[in-house]
Amino acid sequence: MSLITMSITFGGGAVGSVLRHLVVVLFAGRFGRHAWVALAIVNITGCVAIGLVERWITAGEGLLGMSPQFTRWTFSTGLLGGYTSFSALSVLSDRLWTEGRRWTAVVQTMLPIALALPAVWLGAAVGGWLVASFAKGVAP
Amino acid sequence: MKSSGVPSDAVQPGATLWLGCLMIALGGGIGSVARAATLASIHEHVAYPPLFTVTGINLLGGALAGFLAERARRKGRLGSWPFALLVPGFCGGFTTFSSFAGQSSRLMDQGNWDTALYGIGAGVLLGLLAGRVGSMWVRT
Repeated sequence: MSLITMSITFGGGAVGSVLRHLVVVLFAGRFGRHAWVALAIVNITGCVAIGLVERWITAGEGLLGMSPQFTRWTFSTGLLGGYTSFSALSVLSDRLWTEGRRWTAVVQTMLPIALALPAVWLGAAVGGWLVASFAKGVAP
Repeated sequence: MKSSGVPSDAVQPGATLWLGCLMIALGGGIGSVARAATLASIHEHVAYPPLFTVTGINLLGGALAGFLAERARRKGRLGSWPFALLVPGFCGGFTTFSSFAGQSSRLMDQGNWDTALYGIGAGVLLGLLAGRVGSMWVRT
């Protein structure tokens, strides 16, 4: 890894991690006892976004004037990697299970996992549509 | 600052929102770079699917987050800023849910359904158990 790729991954990861924290704080208060929904929202929206970004990159396009490879380091590896979290899911499952809320632990574990791949595919479909629309828009 | 109700993503009471976010940004950035560097250095030498490396990363990060979160909860030996830096910060940025789903989807696109399904099954089971193993280490 070069210094530049380390720097953009660091920047993306820092922004993504803070974004995750803010979304969790914002939504957790609204869901009360079902605060785990906030983390599910983070992980599922992150999967939609990575499907979209990866489809965009696969088409040979970049974002914000960056090359596809830099877009991948910044957005897929950094921003979305930092935004979504498996450790939070793991710790929360353990906490709910320990507190005796076992059905909630199972649901909060299975829901994002069951929706992860459909979310990536949805993102990829939207990305494909955007790539096609962009190609039509710039064609003479 | 109020606790969000999501243990691993909550900055413990006592930290201000901005300082909490700063610590999470720093930890999340470092965690993301550590994840990217681990993936890059391993896959320079070996050719197996990155999904399995992501699973290993999630396992390590989940166990560390489980250990630290339980230690902070039971023994109160982790201050609010170190907690923010290490748990939602470093562990949150080091582990990833979106790359896990994205790598699984990529394997399926390549027709490697068996590998993808084994990877998802192992990743989910081991990643979730990791948090429990980490917290049980503190309890024993």
